[in-house]
Amino acid sequence: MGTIGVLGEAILRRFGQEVILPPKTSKRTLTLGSRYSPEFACLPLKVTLGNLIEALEKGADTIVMLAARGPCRFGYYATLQNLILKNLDYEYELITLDYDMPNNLRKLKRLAKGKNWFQIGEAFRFSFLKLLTLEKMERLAHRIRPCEVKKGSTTKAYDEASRIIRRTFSFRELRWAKRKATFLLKKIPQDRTRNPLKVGVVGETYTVLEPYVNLEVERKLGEMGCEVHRPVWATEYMISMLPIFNRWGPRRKYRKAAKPYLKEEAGGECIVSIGGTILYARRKFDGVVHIAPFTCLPEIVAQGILSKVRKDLGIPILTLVLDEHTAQAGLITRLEAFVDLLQRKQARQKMKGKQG
Amino acid sequence: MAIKVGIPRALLYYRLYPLWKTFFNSLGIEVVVSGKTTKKLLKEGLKYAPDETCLSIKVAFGHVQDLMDKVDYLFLPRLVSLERGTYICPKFIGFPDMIRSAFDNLPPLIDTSFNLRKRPSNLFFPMYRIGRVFKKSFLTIHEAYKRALEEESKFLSSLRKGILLPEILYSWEQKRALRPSNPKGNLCIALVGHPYNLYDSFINLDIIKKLKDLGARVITPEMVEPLEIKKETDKIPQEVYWSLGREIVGASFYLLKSKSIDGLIHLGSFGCGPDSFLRELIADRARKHPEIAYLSLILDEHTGEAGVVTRLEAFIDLIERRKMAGRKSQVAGRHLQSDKRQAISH
Repeated sequence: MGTIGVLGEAILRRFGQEVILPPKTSKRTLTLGSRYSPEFACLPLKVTLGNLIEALEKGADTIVMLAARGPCRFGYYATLQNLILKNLDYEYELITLDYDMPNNLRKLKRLAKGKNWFQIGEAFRFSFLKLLTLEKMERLAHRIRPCEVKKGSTTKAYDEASRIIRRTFSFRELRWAKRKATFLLKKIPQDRTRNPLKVGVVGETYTVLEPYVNLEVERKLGEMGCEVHRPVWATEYMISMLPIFNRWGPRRKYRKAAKPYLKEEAGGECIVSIGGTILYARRKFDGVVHIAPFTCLPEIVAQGILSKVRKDLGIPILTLVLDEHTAQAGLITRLEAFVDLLQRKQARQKMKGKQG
Repeated sequence: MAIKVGIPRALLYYRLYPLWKTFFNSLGIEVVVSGKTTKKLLKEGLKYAPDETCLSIKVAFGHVQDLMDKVDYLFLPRLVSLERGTYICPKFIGFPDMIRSAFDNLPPLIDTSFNLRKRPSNLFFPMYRIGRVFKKSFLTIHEAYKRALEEESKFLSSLRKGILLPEILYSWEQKRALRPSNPKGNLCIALVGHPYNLYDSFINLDIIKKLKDLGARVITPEMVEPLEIKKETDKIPQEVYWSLGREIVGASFYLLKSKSIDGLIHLGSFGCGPDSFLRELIADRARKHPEIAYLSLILDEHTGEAGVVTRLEAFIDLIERRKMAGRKSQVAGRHLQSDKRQAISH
């Protein structure tokens, strides 16, 4: 499940549980997921259902899931997927972590196999750090990719780096892995004379984070010569889920920026998509790519409002609505056209600058 | 000249209109409602609404467009939540903002937030804020608020008597006596779905009338006692957190269990988020009650009338044939089911 899966895996491993990771999301996952889920459900539900089925096939006997009470459909995933899986006659135990904090702590304690609270806290700290390291590498890769001399070398190095980091399960290993991974990425031959376009990628968390689902939009943009920035990160998402950081957490700046357009949070990443776009426009970015799964409730609201943002701030926005049928070729064409447009705009501005 | 406030005949108009209208009228403000949904109106809505939204929002866009030039203020409250612990739908929260970004030269919007998620008793505060827009005094607003609540509760209580909502709304508005038109036949069909799909006779192709013409008594979620709904929804492992969705699920579970109906129709609109999940929950429960026929209809802006009529007729036919066949087949069906269940458990 994207990078967030790393967090759960690391925590449970530290607890001494055996973790069965579902095989990497593939065509089969999507097919399985969309066969059994409701027709108009959102894409993340279908993909994660496919993941769960594949994990159960590999022999998992317990599923840990998050549930929420948001207006977005995500909060109901656990219950609905449980219903579907039970109807498919799978045997497993479901542990949902939801808004009921005391109950959650009890469930955690049970999951932790007799570890004390200090150890549980350490497990959380470690996995959070690991996720943070992974994201640092991702940010680095985003910066390097448009300048790479040999096409594809960054992706190769990043895959290697993330493999090194994913393997670690203690603080010391992580420290070493971080050094090694950073070295791997930094030694990629780069051409720093290029002036890459700056493109923001906003949208729904899951589709932005899971490269298979968004057909590797970030890599494609990078290789077309765009420096990709994005407001959605798994760590920030996890922090903003905690009730204490609801108001003051990392989403505050987006909420503030989006205030003239959206006065109240409409669940999901709606506010981040709008606020992020506005902040990018203020930072003179060249364009924004907005990713949303088909029928995603909050992102539809965002899509409607972004059209106004585009008019007001003059920033090009490309909205990509993804579903299980989205094909590579069509997406590439659209991205190429978009990048072309941005490049031409950049060139025109340069000309103007020279003349003026 | 009195100030005119426009209320679109869409979304929660069907539930809250008596409340809004009484409130505004008691403040001395005229209320203008957009016309009934028509093909032209829907077309206008499609022009302005984002492509991915559900049918109901598209229709609402059309209604706003219809009202825009006729009124001094547009009343589009931001309905975050009307019950403790639930939401309505993310699109309802963003609706005023979506409208604001889609249209130019709008009249001033009244988009007061109604958020009763944490404190269910503070309906007065948003109402007070609405009143203050028109510079009314505290006492006037309070008076209007009290009267509006009274009307709303009267409206809701008459809903529970098994009379269809559009008829109540009509008699309430025209100040005429109620003339219930629900046939008294022994064929009883439950029609569940969001109120703005059930009662907008254009987008649902007048399904209620069609059912009535086929001789069926129609039951909607509003006619089920809220207490029964709560009892049913409490049994689900996780509470459904959309208030309309909770009502739909609770009502259909209750009706399925009570066996007072012959058929259940779920009416959803294309692209509705909650509906896609609710349908799964309801279909799962309906499978456990094989004696009650279940039909799921999805509406979109292209729904052809003939297709719906055929499906409804087939549905009614099926129920009638089942009734004719009598108990015998039902018992056999149940046997079959229990056999299957045993097979699974072994």
